Amino acid sequence: MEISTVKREGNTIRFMVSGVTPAFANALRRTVIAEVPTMAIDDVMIIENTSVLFDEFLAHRLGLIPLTTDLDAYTLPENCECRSELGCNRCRASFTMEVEATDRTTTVYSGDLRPDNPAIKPVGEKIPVVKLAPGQKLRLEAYAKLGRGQEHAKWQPVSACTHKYLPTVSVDVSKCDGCGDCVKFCPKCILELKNDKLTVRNVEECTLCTECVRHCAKRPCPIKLDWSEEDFIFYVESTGALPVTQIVEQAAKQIGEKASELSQLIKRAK
Amino acid sequence: MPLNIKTLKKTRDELRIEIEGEGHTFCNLLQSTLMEDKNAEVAGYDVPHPLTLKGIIYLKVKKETDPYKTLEKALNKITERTDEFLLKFKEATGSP
Repeated sequence: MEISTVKREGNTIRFMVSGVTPAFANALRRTVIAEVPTMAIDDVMIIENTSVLFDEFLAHRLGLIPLTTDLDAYTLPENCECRSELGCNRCRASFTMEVEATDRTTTVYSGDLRPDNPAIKPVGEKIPVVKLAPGQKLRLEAYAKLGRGQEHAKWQPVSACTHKYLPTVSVDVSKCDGCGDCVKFCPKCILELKNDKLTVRNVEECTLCTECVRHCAKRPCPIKLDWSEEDFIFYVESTGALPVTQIVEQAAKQIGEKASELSQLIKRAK
Repeated sequence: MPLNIKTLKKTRDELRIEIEGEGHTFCNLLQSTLMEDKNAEVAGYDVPHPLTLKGIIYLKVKKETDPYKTLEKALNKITERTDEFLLKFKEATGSP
């Protein structure tokens, strides 16, 4: 197994894993999306709501706000010792919100949520929740808990997590006349003419769209498009709830833990 | 969801277990890892209903092998691989 070409920019990461099976890559992708826990608002006590939105509409919008998460400080409610439906300090974070529009239309933003624990706060300050007309008022308490994406998408730590096979583009130079037609039609600009010879650069950008083959006058086409079934290019985009590297690490950790837990269970069942 | 297993069928060379709390994510990985073992004759899995988190793993091994052993070996292989992935990923990203 090899991990290479790591490109990390803010909340996104792109990396290549070589020497793994498609099942492993897919298990990792599915775990990242559906099983890495994050914080999201799950209970809302609305004290006063004279806005144009229904209470449940408002609660839903609050739930979808991504919150920064501390996985070490909080536990999933089903694993928490308190066994309480309301939760305790180990499995619940609370927020209050109080906004009133006095003389002009006011937009309520995620930044108006006042967190109890400053470590658990909305990822962005400027996520609109509702607009209030003069005289309208909003007062509520919100409780966030850890959850998994498999229960509701609001607990998904990523907005995108994809993988693709590593494309391989090979050119049979003896059959290519170097006319350069394919170069201008490649949407990812991975083909290049160097001294009238067709060369390939940034092959991982290739989407296997076959435009180059389609515009080549030669038949059979000297360009061969293929892919490797044991090299995967991953692209992960965090919502900001967790650092993107932590999400991938957590997912791998969880798969391993699950396998060892099952192994223990099987030893007992034998 | 806590993991739970139930043995549905066990003969000398066959094993069918139900894993409560696991769906395609893990069962597919386990099935393909089982098939890598040359002692495994058939390995398959089924998720009977898309809304209930439950997977059924079926395994048939070649004669003179214990299906439980083959299963444990595959599970250990998965743990080894995730550990290796974690190590290499941390190295590649430079995170502590």
